[in-house]
Amino acid sequence: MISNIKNSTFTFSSLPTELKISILDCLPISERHQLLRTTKDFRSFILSKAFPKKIKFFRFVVYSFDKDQPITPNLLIQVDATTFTSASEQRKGSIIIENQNSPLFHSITSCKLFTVSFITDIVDQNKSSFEVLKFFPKFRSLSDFRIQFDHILPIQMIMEKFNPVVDRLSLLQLSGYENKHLTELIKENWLNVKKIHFANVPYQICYDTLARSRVDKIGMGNARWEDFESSVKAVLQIGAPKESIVLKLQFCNAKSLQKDDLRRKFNSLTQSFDRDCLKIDENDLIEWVKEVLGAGSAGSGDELKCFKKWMSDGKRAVVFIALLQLDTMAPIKVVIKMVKDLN
Amino acid sequence: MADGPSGAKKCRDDDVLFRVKSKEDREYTLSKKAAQLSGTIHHYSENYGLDNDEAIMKMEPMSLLEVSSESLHHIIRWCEQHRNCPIWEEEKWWQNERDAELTKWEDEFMAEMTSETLYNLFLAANFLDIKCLLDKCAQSVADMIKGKSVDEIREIWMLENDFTPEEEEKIKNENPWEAILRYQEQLEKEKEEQASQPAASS
Repeated sequence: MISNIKNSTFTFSSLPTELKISILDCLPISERHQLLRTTKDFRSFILSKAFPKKIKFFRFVVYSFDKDQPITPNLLIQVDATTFTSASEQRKGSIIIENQNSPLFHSITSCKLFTVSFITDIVDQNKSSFEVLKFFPKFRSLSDFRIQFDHILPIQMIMEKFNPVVDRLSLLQLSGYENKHLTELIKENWLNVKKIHFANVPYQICYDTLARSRVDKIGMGNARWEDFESSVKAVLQIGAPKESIVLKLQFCNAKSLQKDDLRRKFNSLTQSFDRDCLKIDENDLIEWVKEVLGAGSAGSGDELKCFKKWMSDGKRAVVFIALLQLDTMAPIKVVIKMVKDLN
Repeated sequence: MADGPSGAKKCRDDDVLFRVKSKEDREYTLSKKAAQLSGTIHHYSENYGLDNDEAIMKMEPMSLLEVSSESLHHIIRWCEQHRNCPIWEEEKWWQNERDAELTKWEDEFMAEMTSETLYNLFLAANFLDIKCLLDKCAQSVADMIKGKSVDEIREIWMLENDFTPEEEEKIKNENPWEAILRYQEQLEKEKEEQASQPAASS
């Protein structure tokens, strides 16, 4: 700490640009926000330098191996070549390490990825948040943030200090989490999320917090019905008063599916959804509903009419995907009724 | 000038000394090991054949025309203190070991600085390309404004408020993320427009 600066000044504006940037890199995001309000020039500078262009692809995965293998906490950051370039442009460089041996490298994408493994270092070496921060400000805006891990603390630390803008947050296999951890994770001032996707996680999260965040898509996988019902109600309540809601439902009767099959199917569904979520038209949705409800039961039913009308009125506000392990069709009808009530 | 924090390391009698000269033409020496922390001095040594002890002992002082005597004094103190540190691998920062005592020394070192001294030291560290000092200076400058109000930040960093009261009121209530994303979207739009222009003209 500088002890003698309290009553003195520092001519920041006359520093070379690279030094200004290195200073900004040391500041928490909230402090950078403050700087937007200082002067016009500084505002432009902060906008252009302190928050670099959004990274198109950034997969941030914490995972552990299967039970019969040694548990190896790991956090992988995968970025594409563009990201790598943009990260390298920073004066301080990056810590990107190419690691094609990552299972995710093979299983999730065939793209050329640069993988960074550093959670082991953070966890095992108890790195300070400052040291974590030193890297994370390089990636201030994430388009895809996936968490799959049974220990949330490193993520909490990162979220709290880093406060990234996240287009999509995927929380996978977080069954060990306490609800309060999830709630804290999604605190408004920690996480700026546009889309959030849960799979195998407890759903009793704080929807008031979600409402204040930037969430416009919530996905749920392998949901238990009771979780789903309460979540749908909560989310609809959040979105309903202001804007119409598009509720997209993807169901499959998962009873006969093995867990891996289910997950694969779900991933496939959500991936295709992601690509088209803003473009999908009414007919596609109806086809989905038909598929869900089964041949002959959906084509002329009240539910479908309701859905159709509701879609034609809709201006996307909240997109909700659900993949339910269903024993009966009853939950679907309840959901559709809830939508109907909103209309 | 102050001797600095307690326990500061200095050149030993048997050190091979590297000679440097400040912009005020004042000569200083620092150990070969300490000098190696500076990328600028390292390149100078390569270019002028200072690759062995004998050559260094016979060298003419290296002129550092952009570094004041005061800054150079502090820089030498810093480099001597860090001369035995493992090489700081910037790209593997999480593997770099930090010595608690050294960190304490660094904090005390920075605590001596006035804002003006820090400003000059920061520029000098940049000129001499001393990465660990650059990082510490950047963090120290950032620490100046942590938790401060906008007015206080302006005062500390000498920024003149050029917003009109109306503009100020408007940005006071804005969501910063919206401003950032709007800016980024605008940039993307401009980029797309630029990209489409050659295609349209051809």
